Amino acid sequence: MNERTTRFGPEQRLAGILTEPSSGTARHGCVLVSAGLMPKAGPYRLYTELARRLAHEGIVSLRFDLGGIGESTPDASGLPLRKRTESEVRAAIDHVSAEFRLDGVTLAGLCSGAEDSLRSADLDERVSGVVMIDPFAYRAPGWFWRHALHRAGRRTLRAFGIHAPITQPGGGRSRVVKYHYMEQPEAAGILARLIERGTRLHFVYTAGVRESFNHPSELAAAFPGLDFRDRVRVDFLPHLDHTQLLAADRSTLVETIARPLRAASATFSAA
Amino acid sequence: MTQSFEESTSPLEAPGRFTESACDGRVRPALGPLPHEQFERRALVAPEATAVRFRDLSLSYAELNRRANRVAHELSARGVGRGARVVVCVEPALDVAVALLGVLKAGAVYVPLDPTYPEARMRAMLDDIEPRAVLTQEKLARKLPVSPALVLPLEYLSQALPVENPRLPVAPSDTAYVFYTSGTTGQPKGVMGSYANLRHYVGVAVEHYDIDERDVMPAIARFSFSISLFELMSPLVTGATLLVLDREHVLDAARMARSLSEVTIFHAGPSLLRGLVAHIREKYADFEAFSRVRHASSGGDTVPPELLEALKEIFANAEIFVIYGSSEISCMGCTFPVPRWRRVTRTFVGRPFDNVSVRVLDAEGSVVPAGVVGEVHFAGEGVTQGYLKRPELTAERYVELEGRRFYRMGDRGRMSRDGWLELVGRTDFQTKIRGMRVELGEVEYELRRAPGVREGVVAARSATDGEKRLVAYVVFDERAAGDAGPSRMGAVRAHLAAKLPDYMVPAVYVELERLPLNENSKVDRRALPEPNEADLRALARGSLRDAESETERALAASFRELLGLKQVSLDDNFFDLGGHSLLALRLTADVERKLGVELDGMEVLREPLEVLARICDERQGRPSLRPTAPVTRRPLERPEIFHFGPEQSLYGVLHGRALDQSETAVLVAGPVGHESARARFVLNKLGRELAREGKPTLLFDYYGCGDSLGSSADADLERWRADIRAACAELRRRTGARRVAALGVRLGALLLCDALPELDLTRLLLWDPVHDGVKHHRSLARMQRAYLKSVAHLRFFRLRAAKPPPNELLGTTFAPAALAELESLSLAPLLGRSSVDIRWLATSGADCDAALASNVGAGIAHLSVECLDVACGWCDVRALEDTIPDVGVTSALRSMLREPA
Repeated sequence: MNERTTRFGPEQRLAGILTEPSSGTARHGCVLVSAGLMPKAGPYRLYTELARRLAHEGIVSLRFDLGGIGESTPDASGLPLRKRTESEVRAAIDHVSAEFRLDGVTLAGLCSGAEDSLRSADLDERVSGVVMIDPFAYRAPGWFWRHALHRAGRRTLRAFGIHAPITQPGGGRSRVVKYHYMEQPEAAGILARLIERGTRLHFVYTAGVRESFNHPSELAAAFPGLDFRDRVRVDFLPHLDHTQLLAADRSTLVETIARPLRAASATFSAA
Repeated sequence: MTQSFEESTSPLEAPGRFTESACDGRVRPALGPLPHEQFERRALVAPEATAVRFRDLSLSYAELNRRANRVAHELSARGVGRGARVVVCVEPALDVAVALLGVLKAGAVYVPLDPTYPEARMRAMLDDIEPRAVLTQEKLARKLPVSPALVLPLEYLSQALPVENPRLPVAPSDTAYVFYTSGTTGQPKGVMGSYANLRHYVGVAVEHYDIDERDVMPAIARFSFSISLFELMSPLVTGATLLVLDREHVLDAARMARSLSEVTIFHAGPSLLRGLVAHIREKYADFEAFSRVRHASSGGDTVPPELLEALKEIFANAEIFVIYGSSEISCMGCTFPVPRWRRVTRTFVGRPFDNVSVRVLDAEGSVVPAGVVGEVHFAGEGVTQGYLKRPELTAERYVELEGRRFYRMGDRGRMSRDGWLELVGRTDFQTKIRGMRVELGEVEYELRRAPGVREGVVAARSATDGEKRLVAYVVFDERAAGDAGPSRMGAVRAHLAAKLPDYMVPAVYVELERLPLNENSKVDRRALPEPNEADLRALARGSLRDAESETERALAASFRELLGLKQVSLDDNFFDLGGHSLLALRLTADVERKLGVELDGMEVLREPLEVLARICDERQGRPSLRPTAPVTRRPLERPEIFHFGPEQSLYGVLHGRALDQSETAVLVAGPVGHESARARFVLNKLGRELAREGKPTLLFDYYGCGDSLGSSADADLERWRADIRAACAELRRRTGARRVAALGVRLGALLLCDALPELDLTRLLLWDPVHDGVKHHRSLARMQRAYLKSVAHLRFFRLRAAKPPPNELLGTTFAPAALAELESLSLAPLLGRSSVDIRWLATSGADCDAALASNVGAGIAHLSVECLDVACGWCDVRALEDTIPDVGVTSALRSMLREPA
């Protein structure tokens, strides 16, 4: 595995790390899209670990800071944030495609990085796959009774002192930065187009989105008009928290993502 | 290339390198006879020499002595002698010299009273003075609110009174004068000086400025100000000629300029000098007319460097001095000889006069290290007796230190390593902006250095929301080249933003033609106007574009309401108009309530109103009325990123590049683990800001952390210390800088201190350092336990898997050896291993608050602790995933780094 710093995009203002397999020629690439204000290493180095695992599978990856985060300077064009993000992800795809002769590029991200990946995939036909960790989720029939059961269990554990939620003083912390999930109609449109295009979509849900998602079947239930065919894979890891504090959890998540990607990469190589 | 003074060698004899802010003037024996006795000798030696002139009138030394003797004999005949206060209330004329000398010869107390004062003030002062006699002029006698029996018009003095020197008894310790100064409570207070104080005052001035019988010196200051004694007495004790000028004359620049062509030495306040300089530059083709002037000095207020440069230009044959002091120390505290061969860029006030000591002390009364800001204190022969009838105030301001009596000036200053005192503001000009202490004088200091600014003051004003904001009042130099209007003011703001912590950058800018002055020719802060709408908009770009759509109008209303404005434009950015992070939260809440749309702080921070409205429309699913119109903003300089160190294993980020080896580069040893990601945003911001100040800054990730290679489980603490050393070497290699200061954050600070002896740093900043390895380990474990308990329900049936190994703490796997060594580390013994100047920033909510920090650093003279009243949440499990916003941290760190060591 080799890692090197790189700058790309307009005026070289985006900063990233390229992680390559130490041997062989990578035919598949992955762009890791950062989440929120989190720098390119990801929460608890999740992106770093994922990039190295992918290199082990023969996949080159680029993790980078979006404009204004980490070592990337902000876009001075005055365009709205979403437009800027889309152009920055496109620049990352351009860069990794120019550096390596790739057969396909997968976008991957956590939370806002997941949705930025999905939107960018919709705009760029070079994207052959999207991996989304805790993206949008919409309550579907079945969620309510599962949630009720879960709450009852949680309250029981609280009564025994096993579970103690972190209390937020004053009814919750005021955060300057808040995240908004993609609206359902927009998500449905993008999914339909990507499935039609043959893009592989990998949804990974943790307990971080339990307020909206608590069963693997829920994704399909939330989009009843869509035929997922064999293009959509859903993994639900309810014992993992949103940012995977524990190394074992991060390892589980990394494996959950890496295995299908390795398979996809092998498919490309074989082709 | 112009070299600044502070880069040069000292123009005076070098007293050696100062490590502490303590400087003593030369110790000399008491300077001979009392001033009025020195005058009598002059009258004996050169009786016919001209002693004093006023318009076409003049008096010889012999005649002035005779008249003064008559006054003294008259006072003595009335029983007015030692300790008796005699008010002298005269308009400028020859009488002022007669009265002053007469009172001193009588051994009484000279108390000048300005006849132009309002009657109520005059009455209050006379009640306080309780005069035994009032010397005045016939035309003023009836106006004085005092018993007629006490009034003695000078014109009516009997010619039959003796003219011989009276030889009345007077001791150096007797009170010689009382000068009233303005008090912060609005009540003037009388400063009592002894005959010994007066002898010192006049003596050091005459000796230091080499005044002799060839000199002609005008009396420019009002007689009610203590600096007038310098002007009145210095010529009379040396055989020189005193030139008395009336107020109209002094305030008429053309007449003053003509007068200056016949004097050899003069002193004037900076406000008066600015007007004079402007007039002379405009009206005089060359400055030959002022070639006689051999000494020009200024003081009494901050003397801007550009004014000193102008004086050098106009008075080509003169020595230029700054004089620093106050009535309480007999005016002559320090003096700064302005070098002709070097450009002055800072507000130095120099070194102490003979028999004067100066100390810069911290709040605890300890002398601060050289270069560190503290309050200026003076001791020595000039320190006066105290305040008339105000023992409590006297005890508060005149303090006992080192077994000597010191006067607290109330000025904040710092001393260079060469013993030069520089003023940076007033202690009583402090205010709090959003909970952060702001020294208005420091802001003013930078404001006056901004491009095109001739004069500037800063005031804190409350806005409609009750929040205080800083308002800068600016007078532009019309001769300076450059644009007018918003761009010019924008340049001022850009200058301040580059030089000051962001919370100290004024939010509002008001352009004035001139600053309002009070009767002392000092800036009258109470007369500064309230900012109006136009001022608030001074920084807005282009012309006003009104909100049109419903969303734009709703947002504009929120802007107006929160910022206290009447108008906002579509081009306005919330922060440019004076908004800040707390107001941004209120704005987002307001928008959510009105429009049902959540904006995030980054958008509010970055976008103008028009774009915010577009975002709201999109989130509401409505098409925006306006086409997308990019708004160009200045891009930030991108940092260089690279791998370096052993096997290129460390990730580095370099902000800026040093070209000059005299510049200081900054190494940042950041936190380890999750704290590193939390602090990344704020440390990169700090790096950008420091780079803009000319200080290249290197951030890096330790081995096995962030974007560096490896795994933290493979690194021990020695590896991370080696990383710090490698980063320091890399910084020097890449920038060429010889001087490196370092910032250590949390565990990085502890490691940095451990590696300190090998780093050769010029300064060390510590931001909430880990001070005890055991406690830090326990704190991490405690937070992790709390977090895992909060998510225990997720893995109820997987409890075994949920229990992490003991060396895994909050997302970082430590090598067992690293944890063992961490537990053996403690900050206190490491701090004393180096003599490098250490500054400690303690935020609230850290595991080591300011009080504990002071304890940890107790006994370490080169360490000082600054407290910032914000919580970074290092030990708060609820903040585990929050990026630390810039809540004043970068500002504080930049300030701590900017103060010279």
